[in-house]
Amino acid sequence: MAELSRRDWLTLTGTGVVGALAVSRSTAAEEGDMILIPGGPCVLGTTEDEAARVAREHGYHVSWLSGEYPQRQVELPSFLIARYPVTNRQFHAFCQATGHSRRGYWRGGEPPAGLIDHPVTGVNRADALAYCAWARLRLPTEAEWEKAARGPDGRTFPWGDEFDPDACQWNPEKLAGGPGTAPVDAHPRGAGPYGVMDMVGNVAEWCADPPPPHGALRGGCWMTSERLNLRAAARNMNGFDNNAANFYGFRCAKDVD
Amino acid sequence: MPNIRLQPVQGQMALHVLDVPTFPGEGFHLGIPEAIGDAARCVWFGGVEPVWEELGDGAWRQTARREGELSYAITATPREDVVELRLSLTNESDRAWAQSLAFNCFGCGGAGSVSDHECVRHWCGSGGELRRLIEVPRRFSPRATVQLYSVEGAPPGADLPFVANFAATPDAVLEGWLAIQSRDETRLVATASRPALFLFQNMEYSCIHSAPGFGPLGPGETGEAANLVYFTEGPLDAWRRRMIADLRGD
Repeated sequence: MAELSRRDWLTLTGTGVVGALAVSRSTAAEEGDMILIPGGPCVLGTTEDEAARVAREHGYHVSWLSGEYPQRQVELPSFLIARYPVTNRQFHAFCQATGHSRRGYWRGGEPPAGLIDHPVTGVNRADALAYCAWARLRLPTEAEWEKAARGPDGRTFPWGDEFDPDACQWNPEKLAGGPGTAPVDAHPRGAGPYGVMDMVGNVAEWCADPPPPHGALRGGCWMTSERLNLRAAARNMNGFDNNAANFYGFRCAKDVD
Repeated sequence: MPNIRLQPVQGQMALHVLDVPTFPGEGFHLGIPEAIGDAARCVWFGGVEPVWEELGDGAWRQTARREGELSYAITATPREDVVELRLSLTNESDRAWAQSLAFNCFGCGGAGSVSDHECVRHWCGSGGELRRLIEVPRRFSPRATVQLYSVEGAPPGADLPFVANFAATPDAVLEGWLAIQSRDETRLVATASRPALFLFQNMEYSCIHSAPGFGPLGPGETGEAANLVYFTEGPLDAWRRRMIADLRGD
């Protein structure tokens, strides 16, 4: 394992102080870093009362949030999760190394220079799994994704309980084409309790579960205009495993040895 | 206004809707049908290789047959702001079908001015009132983006194997149409059937379905239905009045 650098150590304040270890690692994939999410309890989902409040506030019937309740506390073992979603740069390296198909929006087989550090899009779950296998990583489960985004205290958004319009890439103007993706490090205010970045907005992220043929997609995306769909507990997105939409991306995870 | 232009996909149960005067520069997609036949044992998209035949004036007819199961014909006629679909389905099996259907998909995901992956501009009707779809109960399922609804006057969705298998049918009973308002709120797209058997929407693709039902069909029997796909200007309530009149006079 590579030597830990100073920036690998994060101490962030949430409702308490969470010490999180970011581990520099060198994989076949890239120089991207992984963050250790310590084992222990976490809160998943939303209470029915809270769901009712949020739904009322946004004009939805509460049943549109029913995938989130009942809220439950679960124990998860330690795991590593990528600080950022996989970028075009990283996915390009994977394609070069393996011959995996280039993305449709690339030009001449290369990602556009302006998108090189944006999350890769147009990936289906098979693409994501192929990348993970090559990088000796895996997709996070929904529970892992949610813990990394919400911390042990189950906050509403990665950065806290109040929505911050500048903390993620979303579509506040409700534009037809939306704002498109942003570089994965464009929203430092969106840092989660463990230092994981860009979990909400930008691209909806494939998860390892449920089993085929449909996978969960978490975090909303650059097209999302409704704040309730940017909550880290939101579960109204999934996709056919073979669907590669222009708002689908992914990040990697790994077991702790 | 000129008529809408239709471009069938030869050999497939699919049709592109192009040059829509009310939605310039945008394209739509019709999966007609994505499934058809016995509601308990449908032939799915790709299950037959249909033939498209041009009829003149921009209209097309799709025909297909699965030996020993079914045959069908769908005529698609473009107007200025609506595509009229007329369907006939024949039971060529030796089974009596308790219910029969065409699962027609109206895909709007490629049209930025109306695509709505959060359902906030989706509209429906119940009890004579217009309602936002997000105000209507839904049921979470392993396919979280999908929802089905029963239709007034039709059998409950839970009693239809095709619908029940999605495990996403709430108790809500709606009129036989779904609409999506444009972002600028000056236009809408909609699908309405006569008779409608159930409704379906999928946030993943931003598609809406009003599934025409042909009722019970015995061996050798043929049923007919209509499905109107709108691309109109103006407010929802005016469109709804027109749609009801269109279906009544159909």
